[in-house]
Amino acid sequence: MEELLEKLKGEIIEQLNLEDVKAEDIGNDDPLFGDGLGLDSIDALELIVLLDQNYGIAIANPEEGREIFQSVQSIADYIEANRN
Amino acid sequence: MVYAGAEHIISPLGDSAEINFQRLLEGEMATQKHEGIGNKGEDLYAAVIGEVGAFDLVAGIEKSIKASLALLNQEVLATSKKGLLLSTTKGEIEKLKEDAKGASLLNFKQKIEERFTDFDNCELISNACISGVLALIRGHDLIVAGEYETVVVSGADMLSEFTLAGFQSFFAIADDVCRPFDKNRTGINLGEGVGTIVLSSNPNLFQQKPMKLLGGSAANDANHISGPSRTGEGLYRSIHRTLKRAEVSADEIDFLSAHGTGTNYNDEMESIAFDRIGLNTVPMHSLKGALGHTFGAAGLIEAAICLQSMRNNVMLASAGFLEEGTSCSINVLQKNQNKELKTVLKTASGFGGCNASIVFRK
Amino acid sequence: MNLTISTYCTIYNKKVFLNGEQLHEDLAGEEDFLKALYKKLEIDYSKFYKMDGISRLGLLGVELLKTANHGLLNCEDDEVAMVFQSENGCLESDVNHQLEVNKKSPSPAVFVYTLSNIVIGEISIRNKWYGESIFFIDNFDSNKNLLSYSKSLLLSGKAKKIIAAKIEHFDENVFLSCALIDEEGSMPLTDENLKKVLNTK
Repeated sequence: MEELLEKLKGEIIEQLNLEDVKAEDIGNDDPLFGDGLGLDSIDALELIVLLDQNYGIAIANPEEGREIFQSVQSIADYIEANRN
Repeated sequence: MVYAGAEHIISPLGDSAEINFQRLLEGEMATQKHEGIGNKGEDLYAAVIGEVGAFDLVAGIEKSIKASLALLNQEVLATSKKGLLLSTTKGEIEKLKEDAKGASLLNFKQKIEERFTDFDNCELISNACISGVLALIRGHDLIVAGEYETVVVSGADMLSEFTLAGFQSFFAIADDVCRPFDKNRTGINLGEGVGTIVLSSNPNLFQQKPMKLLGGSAANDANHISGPSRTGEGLYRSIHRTLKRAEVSADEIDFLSAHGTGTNYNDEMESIAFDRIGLNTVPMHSLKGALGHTFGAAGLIEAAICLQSMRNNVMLASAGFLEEGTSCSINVLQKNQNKELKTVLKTASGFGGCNASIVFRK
Repeated sequence: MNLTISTYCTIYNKKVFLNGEQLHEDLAGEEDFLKALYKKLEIDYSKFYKMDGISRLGLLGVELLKTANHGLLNCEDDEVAMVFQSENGCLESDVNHQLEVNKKSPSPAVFVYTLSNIVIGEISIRNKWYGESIFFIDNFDSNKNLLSYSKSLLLSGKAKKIIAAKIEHFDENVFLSCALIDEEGSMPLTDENLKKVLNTK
């Protein structure tokens, strides 16, 4: 799990062009949207692309993303639960 | 004063403003289910003239402009100083599959220019989904500034895998025929087509009695490049300025032709802006359910239908709308309705936070 | 009305000129010149990294105008209009999006930049400007639209200040020239002056 969390942080920074953010700045449970990393609606869609491309997990409804993308931890949990 | 007329439309419903108006009046829908047109082969609803990616945009614009010009008094036209104003978002985007420069908007502009050498100037506006309404504003302002007596404004866009795939990635394509402002709306249908309107300070140019274009105004949301403002700020400001400049009050508006894409956030935004201006009870529609979203053509096609509505004193129903579904109450037409239409407002909003509005008067 | 070009700026060939004077010459060797310029200008605006080339370029041009013209910082939020012109517009993002479409994996963050006016949206968001704006496609050499629309907006009272810009970010062609047009400057707004300010490569 620890490995997945670190890998995810790197992938999120790359996919979302968060150039001024370092992996160690992101806490596993930090909120990604709103006051946390300050991600927006396009970022949420990009995270869907990330899960599809890197983990083969398709999200059909962006509304589902709200729950899944709360934090790096919640994304990792979702990947663990849905990975083939 | 700027007069507007000689409107022309090319859509899947037919070639001419009258035919389109008549078919819409009869409840015909250009939006249909098309098999396998999605980026991953999905079936999608869209308003397509032939095959996806096959609409010849240059030929379409040429045909539409010539058809509009044929509705003018030729002796007056011959002596009128005239400009050509084009609007498109993506031009011949399908050519991008072969080579980047082939899809360049400058190339596209030059191709049209070569076909209409008797115009004094040609401009191309590419400003997302407000391109068409913005081109009408620009045309109006060019005439008011005395640069031209007549400006022919023509907008066109084609349906392509490029835009379909992009909107799919936004999860913004409807599962069904799109339902602007409806409670169960799920997104947009894309479309293609051409719309042309002639503007002139000389009312004798038109064979049929023209309407007046009182002008318009654009405003930015300054909020987000794809997410509509939660307060409708840009659209509110645009309408507010348009009405103020035209010296028209909100309660003089007889009919409102909204943008109404069918996405949750856009339609919600529009309802908030209309509410803030005091347009809640004004009968309104969106044509996106019947014709799909035609981007750079949308403003011109929808404005051309406004002119037809004013000529016929008939307001068209908002296809796809069944049940109120925005937080601010608005008066979306479920049926065609007769009404003496003296003053009509047309609005548009698009990516990049842009908004524009114009007002027509009989 | 006495219309003037009060401030102007050019970015091209890894050089920056503000009111004709070259600035930040030390950045000429930077591989990612726009990013280096962003850092040099000490703009704390992380959205910059998400933008496509044309948006980055336009945003930086306006930041530079602001450093030389404080009137831009203190104006009302709907007084500034943007009149932009380009030959290629967002063609660079178009190409990038088409590549993703071909791979059946389009990225919303790329697609959203496939509209030429997005650069104006980015500048509006950054500066909280709600004013008029328009994006023209035209030959680099022509200033006809820029001049006539800027004049029309100012004379009709639709705007008090115009940022007129020519912008290109496609392949090797990276170029921005922009001019602030209002009543505050000393250089009269003429064809010739606009050409001098906007068309110099």
